[in-house]
Formats: sequence, C-alpha cells, structure tokens
Amino acid sequence: MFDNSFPFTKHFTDKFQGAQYLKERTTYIFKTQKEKYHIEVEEYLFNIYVLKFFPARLKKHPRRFNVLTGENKMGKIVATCIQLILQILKKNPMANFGFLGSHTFDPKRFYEESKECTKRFKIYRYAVYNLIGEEYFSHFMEEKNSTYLLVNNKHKDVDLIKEQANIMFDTIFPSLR
Amino acid sequence: MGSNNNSYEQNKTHYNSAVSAKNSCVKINSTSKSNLVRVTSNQINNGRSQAYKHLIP
Repeated sequence: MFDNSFPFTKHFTDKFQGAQYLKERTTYIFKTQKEKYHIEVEEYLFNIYVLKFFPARLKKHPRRFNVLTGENKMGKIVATCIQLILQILKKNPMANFGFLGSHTFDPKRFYEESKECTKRFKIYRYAVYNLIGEEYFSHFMEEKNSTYLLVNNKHKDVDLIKEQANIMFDTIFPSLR
Repeated sequence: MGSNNNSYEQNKTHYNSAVSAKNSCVKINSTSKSNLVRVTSNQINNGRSQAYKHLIP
C-alpha cells in the first residue's frame, strides 16, 4: 500500500514574518495519472512541520481538504508525504511533524463525515504505525479531533513540544476551534 | 544624527531580540482545546502489518 510514491518537486516558499506561530510555507507538486497535487509544508515554532495536501485545481476551494477525487491513490499519496518527511528530516534533524485527517465532504451523496477518527486519519495513522518507529519519534494523537503528532526524541523535553503543539493546533487546524 | 543613530540602534536591538525570541521558541502560555495523548508501543505494534519495515526506526 505504501511501497511506491510519486516523484515531487519543490515549487516555492512563502515566509510569514508577522504571523503568530507560522514561519514559512513551502509548496511541493506531484502528479498522478489524473490530477496534479499540491503538498503544503508549513513550518511552525518549535520545529513543528505540518503537511497538508489537496488537488491543485481546488487550491482556492474552502473544502479542498475534504473532497474525494475517486482516484484510489491514497496509499501512494501518503507514501509521497512520508518521503517528503524523510527529506525534511535530512534538512532539519530536529523536525517534529503534525497532521490532521480531514473529514470527508461529498455533496453528491449529501454526506459529511464526523470529525472524530476520520477515514483519512485512520489511513495516515496506519502509515505512521507501519513506517515510523519509536526510536526517532514519540507518537501522540487525539482521535476526537483526528490529529497526530510526531515529536522528535532529540528534543530534551518531548512533553513541552507536545503541550506547545496542543496550543498551536487550535490555530493550525481551524476545525478544532 | 547622533540621536537618530541611537534610535535606529534601539529599534534594531528590539527587532533582533524579538526575532531571537521567536527563533528560540519561547514557551507559549495559553489554554488549548487540543489534547494530544501519547500513543503506546502496544497500540503501534497492534496497529501495524508485518509486511512493512519502518523507514524511520
């Protein structure tokens, strides 16, 4: 399921000097057979990186993280994000990573998933359980909000990073407010 | 000119200390709705397949 990934390229970086927690956002691009995708890597305080991806054609759509493309390429897309995590770690060995499994919204079926332990969250968590061990990272999650945090064990105070992430997640993921 | 220079230096110092504080990640004091809890080794081992090897140990 996660054996193959898509090749990706760095597109551009936006710096956020006046922002509360966000330092910069780098956009990467990869292509499947049907879609072009953007992966946004947001770097926050405390070396926390949050990965978000969506189809490029929905860049300005408010539900870009919630729609279904029907491509059935989730495993390969998640593997691409894991490869990006490896690349970020080479650049910043102190990096921590966070993600949220957005709930599905399908207007054609009048279906909106609950935000608790979403289908996407379960897939991302399955990928993390299988591909990332506990030697390098401490794992934290909150099923109620479908959020996951990997804290780099190189940090002296892992729980401090977790507490700071808790505070920042309210801003990073507006759906938690 | 002298006072302008002093003012410039003060602003520069203030800016640098603010940037330094941001970069050194001064602890944020606030309450949060998010409540992340530690995932246990058992949860990870029970939730994974034998087919995969960890890419990151």
